[in-house]
Amino acid sequence: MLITCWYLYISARSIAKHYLNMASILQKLITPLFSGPPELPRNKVTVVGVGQVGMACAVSILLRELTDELALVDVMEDKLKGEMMDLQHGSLFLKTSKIVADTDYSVTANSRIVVVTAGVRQQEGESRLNLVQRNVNIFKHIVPLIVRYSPNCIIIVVSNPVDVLTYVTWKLSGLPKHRVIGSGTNLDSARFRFLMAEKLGIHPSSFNGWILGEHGDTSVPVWSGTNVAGVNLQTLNPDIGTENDEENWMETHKMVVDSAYEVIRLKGYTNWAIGLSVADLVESLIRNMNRIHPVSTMVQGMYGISDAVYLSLPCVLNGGGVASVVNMTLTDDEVSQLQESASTLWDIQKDLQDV
Amino acid sequence: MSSVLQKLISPLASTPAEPPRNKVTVVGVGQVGMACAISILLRDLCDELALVDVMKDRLKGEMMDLQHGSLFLKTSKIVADTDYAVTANSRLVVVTAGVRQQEGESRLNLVQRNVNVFKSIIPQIIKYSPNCTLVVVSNPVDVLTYVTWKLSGLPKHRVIGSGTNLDSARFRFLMAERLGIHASSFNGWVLGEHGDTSVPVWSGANVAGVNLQKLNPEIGTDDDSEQWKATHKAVVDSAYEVIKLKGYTNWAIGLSVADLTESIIKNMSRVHPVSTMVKDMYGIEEEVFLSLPCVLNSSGVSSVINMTLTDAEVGQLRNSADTLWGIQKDLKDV
Repeated sequence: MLITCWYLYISARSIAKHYLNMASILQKLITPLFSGPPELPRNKVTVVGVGQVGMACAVSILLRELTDELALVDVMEDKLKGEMMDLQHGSLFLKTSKIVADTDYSVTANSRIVVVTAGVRQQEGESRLNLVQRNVNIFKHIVPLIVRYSPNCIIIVVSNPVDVLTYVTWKLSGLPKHRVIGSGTNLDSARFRFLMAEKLGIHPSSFNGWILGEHGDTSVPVWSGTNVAGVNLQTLNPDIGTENDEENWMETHKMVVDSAYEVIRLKGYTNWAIGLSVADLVESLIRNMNRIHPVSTMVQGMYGISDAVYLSLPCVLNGGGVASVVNMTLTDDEVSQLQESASTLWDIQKDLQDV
Repeated sequence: MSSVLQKLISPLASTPAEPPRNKVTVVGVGQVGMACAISILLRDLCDELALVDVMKDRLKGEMMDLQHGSLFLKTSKIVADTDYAVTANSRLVVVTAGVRQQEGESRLNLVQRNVNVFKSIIPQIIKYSPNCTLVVVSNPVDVLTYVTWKLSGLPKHRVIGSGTNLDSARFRFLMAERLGIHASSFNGWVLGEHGDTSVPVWSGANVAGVNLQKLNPEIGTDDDSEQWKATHKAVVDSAYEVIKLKGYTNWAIGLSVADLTESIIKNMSRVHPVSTMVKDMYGIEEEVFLSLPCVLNSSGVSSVINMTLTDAEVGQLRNSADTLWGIQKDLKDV
């Protein structure tokens, strides 16, 4: 009897305590002022593909504080979730408060920018053009989903062969051409500026030089424009970039072309440089900066190119995408190199299925 | 016939190149090392970055890949070599070398494997940067920070383990999520061993100075109807979970190491939960490293915050110390 009373007393006490303390810590600590729906993101970026390149893009974008929401998509569920969690665990050190991921593209809704890194990567010794049909089939599935959930986005295509795949993305998306950009020769130019600047003992940002055309073996270094502080290098050395050049500057461009193969041979893939270069593009777009970058854009009608191909030219990038293209003063030889790249690319593109 | 360089640029002074003032070395170019490297580079923390590893090709590839991004960075010198001479004059050396936890393997099981690696690494680091501060990341971090301290001969304030800096970051993220605020607005410390027996100091958990334990005296206990303890459990399980999903963790630890690097390089005297030598604190008699809130600046660990811990929390720290000493006393050649 006494024991029953005791138990009754204990449970009464705990019920009373429970009722007195029913409010959670959250309710006691924080009083909402406003209970409307949560604000939509204003600068959302989606990265499609969480391989090494995708994650390098993601972490570069996060560390540059470019976005208020980052979404990741991929087909590999566990890897995707693991990458999302690993980034979220770094939230204390970041200014991007929402990092989400899902195999379902609805997670990408309302993105301003979508970076596409999905697809298979170059194998050692494989040229970019050999990847094509493999990646086209993947894009047929991805691109319509991206556009469904973010009909007003700008798409940056990184996957290789980037010029062909940017064309493919443009066709599959139905977006106007100024909203579909290929990372193109942004990276080649960055490598060129690094290697040239090293030889001159200056920082890459102080060396001006542009590599245009195809991102790959036939990219075009515009020697006539190379300059430091406005001093034109070709004026100092008219043979620059030619076979007759005693200083063999053309070797530097060759190193740029070989760079990707070299790094792939050494470490299996490249990711840091491309990630940093993509973050640079995203910054111009998201911050509406009107900076000029060598990126892959639709060049039909320029330089005598009649096919609908994407090649890298200096483009003014802002919040709307590719606002304009800078008209280069190219030598006849440089123009014909562009035309040749255009023909090579069109040869591949015309045979692609379902684009 | 002068070169383009000679025509373009006239040297003003032919003094030797300036030595670096804020050089950081990262030892180990695995996923963790490279995440540390890219976080440090993107936060503009060093004027020279050196990478070291034993795998020559991988090392060179990683160095080239970072160099190719130089246009977008403010670190003008990125070097790498298997020879530690490349690390000379570093202010800070981040050690991520060693073998990683396998799925399901506890951190303490890695020990002897990594001690042997450290015996070849640490003396070389000190040889070329006798005045550096060492940040040990490799697991089990508390034991390996002790090992590093013994092998280096450095004073204890210059050898730091990344410790529970990451656990605390995860804790703050997970707790803040439940409260709908940013991680930086939730104050909470996880101390002690980086691993299964880390200690969440519930008595200190607060938001804007409002102490959570006052709002809910059962917080962190089994009686807690809100089960806040599950959040700390999620912190402990985090690493295993991410490893199971993607094979390893790297981004969060990389970001947390960059955070420590910033305090040290910029002489900030910020307080971080990192692994330091705790003998003679909280009744601990052995030479073990455990995480406590440490003031970090250019000299390394300049001081330690004296926590007001409950008896249970002190007991947990002592248990961790005993467990760690149990492992350390049997290590060979330290």
